[in-house]
Amino acid sequence: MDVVLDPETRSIKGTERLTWTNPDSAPVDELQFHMYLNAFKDNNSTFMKESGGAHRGNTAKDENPWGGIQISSMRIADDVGDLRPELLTSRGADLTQSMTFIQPDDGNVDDQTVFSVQLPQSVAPGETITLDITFESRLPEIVARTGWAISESGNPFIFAGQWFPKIAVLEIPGQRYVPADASKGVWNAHQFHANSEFYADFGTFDVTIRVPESFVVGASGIQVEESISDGFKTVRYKADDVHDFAWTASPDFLEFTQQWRHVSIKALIQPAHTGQAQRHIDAAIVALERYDEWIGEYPYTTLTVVDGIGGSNGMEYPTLITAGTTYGLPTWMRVLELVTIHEFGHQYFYGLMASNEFEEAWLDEGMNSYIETKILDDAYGPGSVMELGPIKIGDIQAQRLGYVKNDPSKGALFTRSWEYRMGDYSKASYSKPATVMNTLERYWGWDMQQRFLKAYYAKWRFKHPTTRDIQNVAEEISGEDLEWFFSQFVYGVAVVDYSVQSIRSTKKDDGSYSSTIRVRREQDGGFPLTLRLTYSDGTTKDLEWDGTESWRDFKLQGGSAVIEAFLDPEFKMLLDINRLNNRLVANDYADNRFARKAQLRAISLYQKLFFVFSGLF
Amino acid sequence: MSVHYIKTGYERARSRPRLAAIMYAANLAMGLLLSIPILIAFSQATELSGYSDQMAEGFDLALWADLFESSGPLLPTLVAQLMWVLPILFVWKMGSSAGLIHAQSEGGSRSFWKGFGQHTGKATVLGMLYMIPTLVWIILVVLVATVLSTVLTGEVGSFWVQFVFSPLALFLGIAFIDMMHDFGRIELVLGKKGIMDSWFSGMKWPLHSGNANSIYLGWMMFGLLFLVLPFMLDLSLGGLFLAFIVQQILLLGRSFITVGWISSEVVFFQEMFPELADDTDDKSVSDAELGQGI
Repeated sequence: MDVVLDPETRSIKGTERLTWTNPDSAPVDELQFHMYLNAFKDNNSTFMKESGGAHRGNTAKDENPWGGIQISSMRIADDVGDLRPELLTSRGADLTQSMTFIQPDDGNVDDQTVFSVQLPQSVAPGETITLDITFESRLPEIVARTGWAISESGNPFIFAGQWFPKIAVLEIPGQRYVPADASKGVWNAHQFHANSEFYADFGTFDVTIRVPESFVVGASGIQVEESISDGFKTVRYKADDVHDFAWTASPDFLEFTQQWRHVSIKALIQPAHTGQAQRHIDAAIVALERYDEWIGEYPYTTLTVVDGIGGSNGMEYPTLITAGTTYGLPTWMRVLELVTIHEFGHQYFYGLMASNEFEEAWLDEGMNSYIETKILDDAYGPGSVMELGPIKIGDIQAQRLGYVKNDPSKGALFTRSWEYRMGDYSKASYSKPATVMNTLERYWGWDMQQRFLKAYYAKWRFKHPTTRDIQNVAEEISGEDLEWFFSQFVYGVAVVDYSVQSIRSTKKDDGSYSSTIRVRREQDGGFPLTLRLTYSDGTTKDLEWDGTESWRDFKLQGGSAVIEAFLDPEFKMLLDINRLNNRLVANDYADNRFARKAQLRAISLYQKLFFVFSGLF
Repeated sequence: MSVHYIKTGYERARSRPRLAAIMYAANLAMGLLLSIPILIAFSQATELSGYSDQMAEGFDLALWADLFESSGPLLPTLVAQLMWVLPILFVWKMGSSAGLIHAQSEGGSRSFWKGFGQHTGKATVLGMLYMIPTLVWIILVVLVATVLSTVLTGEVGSFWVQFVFSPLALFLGIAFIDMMHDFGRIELVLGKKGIMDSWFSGMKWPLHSGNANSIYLGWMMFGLLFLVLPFMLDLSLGGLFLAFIVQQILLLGRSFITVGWISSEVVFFQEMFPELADDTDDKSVSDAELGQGI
């Protein structure tokens, strides 16, 4: 691509040469493209209808916030060889007239985020076609990830994401859910939705960008050229084996760099946030180190962390992520680190694995959120997202609560993103899968989990894995049929809640005790678990329960009475929605210490607040 | 000069320690009363759960979430309690302040309860009137902050306006209004003025005397110290019983400061206006009462 940014009109004009090879064993006579900036064209797009024009609390404020892409020409390149005679006759053919917007998801005829173009001749299996496209992208005011904003200093901030006509994925027979015996592949292109991110195929990008000289640029890939003339800066970036290309530009950016092994890390920071530049870089290194050790090597040589503005933040693109922060963010609040680690994680679960985020968002967001919880605990200690005196909140706990206390019976992981009920997308794509994976790890141990993750990465990077694929890897590595686990917690919405109902011990004539412990499965979800019994003589005994029955009585005889029964004492089952009822002590061993302490703390708090209140009058 | 009055206030407070004890006891009793629903709800939820020990030792987000879920209407109950507690607290604050003024006048020889009985009604009305300047000040700060936001634009500007200027302006403004209120109340109790006169007179005090400001600010520093320290103990000592005991000692100290604070202001007022010395007959504190410091 060769493009020019015009900050005045907030537009990017340029040309794109697309070289596409038919991966199918059948000829292809149609190409499909994403035109995602058209989501911001007017109020009638599917994105605007679904989102109401708001995304993560960001809304447009400008009089004219709209954006969009216009293709002025699309032709089969006339200077590229290796075409069959049939296609050779089509050289230079203008395809613009055969472009048709399609709406494969919802039939909203006003949505122009996907188009199909009919080729004059089909592209044979393995054949390559080259298209020359001239386009103009008008950037929207940033609401969701992409567009323009005006910085505090009054300068333009540009974030170009989903900004060019991008070819969709042709899924061939046997790939993902296309039956292996299908006669031909099918295009997988989805409209731009409020609740979904993206899906595209791998390729090589060579992009030349021209911006005003004062602009600092960051982009996917490696910068290979830079020149300045006539008040303009021209930069050229190359990115191999990636499925998208994004870039950013602003005269405000301050650049900070650091090398980590083979990776050049660049942080583009807003002037007000210079004091936090190193936090961004340190968090990126923390993530790089652990992904490298736990999953596999980061195959690229660059990583750019962008401190963006508003709705551009918290997003991932190949080798370029946006994190953002706020002035005065205290170090005990590790939101900056969390977001940076999360977005970096997408270099794997999105970038390298490239699952279909429209159809199986959990494979990217959820797997990434799971590793994020691991990294935060490992790098900063448990309870490190917020550390305020005795109150420590960890990422694992926060993600778990986002699931267990948020209508846990709704929203299966395996659901198409735009079909979630309001509020279920983030739970089912982030919190719940992070909790599911943490539970799986505790079920079979970190060693097995690490083998599983490494195998999944090694086998499926660059190949768009599915839920079925990740399950297969898990089963291959462990040698265990995990259908019971996946059917309940990935494909289904089973809810786990076990409780200890009662402890009854009676002393027999011979001085021994007969104890009966009743445990219950309160919901539909099942999970094998341990029941730990504590006896009055201080000894303990562990019993295993497969957790399938709705209730069960454990009857025991012994020299001592059972005084406590504890289901899942090691808290392996993070999915259990109520941990408080997992444990019960005999009536004689009731302990009121916590309630009394809580009362004392409340008294003291009230006293202090009364003094504060009194000071007001 | 203000140091002299602060010292005198301190001596007066020390000579009648039970006044501080009353302040402290009322505060403690109110806290105790309000905390009962917490004890009951948490007892029911945890005493047989086996987690009592663990929860007493440290914060576990998962268990706390379960606890609040199982405690049902506890949080609404705690909020609803404030509906009746805050008015009572307000009346108590007005009455007890009037009682302290009365008790510490005339060399600190008069009855607290008599002052409380005689002046609570009027002092409460006066207190309600002082809500007006407080409200005006809050509105003013909001307006100034809004204007400032147009000048100090952007993230850094917003930070300073929202997190530095506004809280500081609110705090200092309310402190000065509280000082006006203190002296207005003294004029009401000792100066034999009507409510409206006391209200207006009180508002003149920040300009009336530098010493009045110094006395107030001096005691405010001690008062803040004895409030901040218990808050810090909350953060540093977690759920230890020891923290509660130390907090109570500090809060008793804070009550002592309240007595000393008002005593200083009373002494200063009476030296400024010796002609207003109240000669009504209630050097009334009985020997027994004096002996008890009440």
